[in-house]
Order: sequence, then structure tokens, then C-alpha cells
Amino acid sequence: MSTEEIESKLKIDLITDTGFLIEQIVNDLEGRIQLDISLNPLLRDTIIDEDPSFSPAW
Amino acid sequence: MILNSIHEISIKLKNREISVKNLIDDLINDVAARDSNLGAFVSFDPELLLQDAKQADDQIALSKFLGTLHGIPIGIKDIIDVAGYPTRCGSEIYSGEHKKTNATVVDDLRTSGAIIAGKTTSHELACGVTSPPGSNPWNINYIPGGSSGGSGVAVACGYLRAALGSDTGGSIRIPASLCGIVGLKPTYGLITTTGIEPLSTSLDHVGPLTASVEDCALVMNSLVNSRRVDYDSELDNGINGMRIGVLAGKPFSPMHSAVQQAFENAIIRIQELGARCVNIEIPELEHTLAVEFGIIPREAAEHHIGSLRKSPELISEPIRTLLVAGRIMPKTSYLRACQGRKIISRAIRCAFEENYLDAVITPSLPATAAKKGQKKFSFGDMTEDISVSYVRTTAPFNISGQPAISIPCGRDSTGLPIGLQIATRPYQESRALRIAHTFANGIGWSLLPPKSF
Repeated sequence: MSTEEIESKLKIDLITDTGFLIEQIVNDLEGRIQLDISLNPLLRDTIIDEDPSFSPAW
Repeated sequence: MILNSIHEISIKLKNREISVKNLIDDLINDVAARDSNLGAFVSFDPELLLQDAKQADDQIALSKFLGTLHGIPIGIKDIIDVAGYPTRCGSEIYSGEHKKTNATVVDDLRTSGAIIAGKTTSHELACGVTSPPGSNPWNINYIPGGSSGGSGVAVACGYLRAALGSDTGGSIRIPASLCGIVGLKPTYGLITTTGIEPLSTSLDHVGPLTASVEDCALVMNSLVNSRRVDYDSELDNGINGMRIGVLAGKPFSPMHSAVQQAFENAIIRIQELGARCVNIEIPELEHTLAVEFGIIPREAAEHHIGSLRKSPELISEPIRTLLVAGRIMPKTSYLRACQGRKIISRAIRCAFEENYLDAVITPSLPATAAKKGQKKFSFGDMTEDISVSYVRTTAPFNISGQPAISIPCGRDSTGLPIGLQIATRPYQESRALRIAHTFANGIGWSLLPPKSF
């Protein structure tokens, strides 16, 4: 995600002052994107459910 | 005053050998003497406590004894609303205004006659593992764990027999393990979180931290009265014939050698007590952290968006970063993590069913308490953030929502506690308590609070 994209998303979300540099957000997001990609072997061809709700019952 | 259980205290109160005022006077004096070093409480009101004590004593005098928790002081993590106290969640974004109503769990405790001892230290927004200014009672240069660190300290140092905490990625079991006490994360949704500030609503649980397994069961009886289960009724039934899975592989390894040794000793002891231990691996659990950290930011950011917009400077940088990520990462990432959760939960269920398991055991944490200010652990060639280390072994059971209890099982060479984690099928808290109780008796563990500072 580019710096411009991030700044644009924050602006739309009315987060005008994150209190730190955009570069820090970029670095953090890089890590999170990698974490998301790491789910690929777990998810494989699973169709992603639009309903995130969860029940623990077996 | 050293008393060995809530049950023992309760008998003495009912027989008027001691009064609730005696208990509360001791508590007030103890906190005054020690809490500047220990940092268990963020709100502690002696006047309110003495009023509650008088009311409890008056009821006992009129033979209106409400039950085993009558007159017992219990600490409440400062993300849980208590009327007459502010709820600050370890954060400056909360106003400090006194709440007018109780969280449901607090109402339940009060109905059982318990005294609310005060609000215990929470890591900021319940989102961290160190809980400053809390100190580990076994060595005040070390962290108590978090985010329910204050509750862990209050029980471990002997102020209280019980306190409530919350657990989104380990926040009851981490301080329980690091402080050498019992901590139970119940089944997801079993105990209502109404009146509790959320971190991540689909992963949040509320539960007790206690000085013994029996005390844990008694508190659970108060919190879960709707299910009509007596959580202490099975405690002495033993574990003969049970099948217990020993979870190996990621994310439970690597671990420090002292933890490894204590865990291996625990396995031997459990087998000596009559259970059969079966080694199992669940490869899907390798993705625990990706799922946990894929869910939390979006849900946390949804709750805190107002503060993120108006006063981000009042939120510490690591948490602010997490919240911003929660707003920026695409929804598909969140849904992928949620899907991963369902796959992991199904894999754990299959492991239980295919191996006919009553429970699984793991080390609660791969390491003992970190020093204050320490950022990383080393595991051989690998280094890891302490928060990652602590969450990777506990989060699997937040993801699956099944009950998981941490019980002390040893110490490292410096005397810091090590925990054993026992997880059972959903809604089988009684079984988890029974295994923990049998194990604790089997190794002769009972909490002897460390000498005061």
C-alpha cells in the first residue's frame, strides 16, 4: 500500500492526526500484509465467508 | 491473616469466628503497606470497603448468609464497570467519571454477597502483556503479565483469594502463569461481557484469577448461575482413565528449558495420577498469530474510532498503530482471519474427536516473567517480542473459544513461576477444573504468597 493510499484512507476516515509519521504506519502495515499472506496455506481454496460470526459449540 | 481457601474463610465468617470487617481491615492495611511497590490496584476506596463490610456483617448477624462468597473481597479488572468507581482501562482516553451501574458479572458477585475490593490494574485498553505499574510479587523487577496484571498481583501477593480479569489473547492466563496462580478463561460467551469495555468482541472472555482451583470453581458458580452447574462438584473425582493430548510443535515451541522441564515433569505426574497422555500435533495451529492479529485490530478500532479521531495523542504509540491498522487494512483481511479461525477451531475439534481426548495440555507460556523494560526473548537462534511469545501459546484457545485454565507447575532457577495450560471441550469448565485440581493436589501445590515488600 502506498503512502498516498494510506493518507487518503486516513483522510476519508477523518483520522487527520495519527500522531506519528506515515512511514511508521507503512512499515507496520507491511508486516500485517505479510501476516495476511501467511494465511494462504491455511485457507487454500476455501470460499471466504462474508459472515465473520463465531460460535464455540461443537 | 493466612486462610487457605474461600471455603475456610466462609465457614469462619458464618460461625462468626472472624468478621468481614476483620478481613477488610487486614486488606486495607496490607494494600497501604505494599501496593506502592506492587501496583495491583488503580482504584481502592477504604471507606466504601468498610461500608460494604458493615453491611455484610449485619446480614450475617441476622442469619442472612448469602452463600460461600458472602463477605469475600474480590478484585475487579479496571475494564469492568463497578458502580461508584471509574472505569479507566489503563488509558487516558477515559474520563474518570464514576460509573452508576455494575457490569453483569459484578452484579452476580454482589448477589452472592461478595465485596468488591477495588479496581485492579489493566494494561492500556486491555491490549498488552506488561500491565504497568504492576510488579510481579515474586520479584518486583519483573512484570506480572497482562493485560489483567493487577488481578494477578492482587491474588499472588495474598491481598485477595480471587479477582476478575479478561482474556482476548491470554490476558487472564498470562498473569496467572507469570504470578503463579490459577487463571481460567471460560468458553466464549459463557459469561456475559455486558458492562465490560471490549478489546475485540469476538475474542474477549471474562473469567477468574484465584489462589486455588477450588476458589476458581466457587467464583464460577457465582458467575454462571444460569447454567445450573456446580463447578466444584466434580473437583475430587480424579483423572483416572482420562485421555489427555500433549500438544507439541508450533506455536507451543520453542520454549525456555526451565519451562520444557517443568512441562515434562507435569506430563509424568499426570500419568502417575491415572490419565493417559497422547502426543498430538495440530499443524493448523501454526497460523494462530496470523488469525489472532488479523481479527483484533479491526474490532478494536471499531470501538475506539472516536478516540482515534479526536485524541490520538492520548493513546500510546503501539496501540495507536494497531488501531490505525484496523482502519486501513482491507475488510477481506479481517474476513480471511475469521475464516482461518473457523478452520483452526475445526482442526482442534477433529484432534479431540479422533484421539478421544478429554483435554489437551500445553505450557501456559514458553517463558517465565520478563524483566521490566525487556522487549524480547531469545529461544536459541531466534528472538521474539515478548508479547508474541506470551500470546502464541494462549491464543489458540481464544480462537477456538474453548475453556483453558493455567495452573502453576513449577519454578525457574530464579524462583519465577511456570504455568501448565489445560484446555477442554467447550462448556466443560468442570472437567478443566477437575484436572487442574487433581494435578495441583498431586504436586502438593498451594499458594504461599511471597514475603511482603
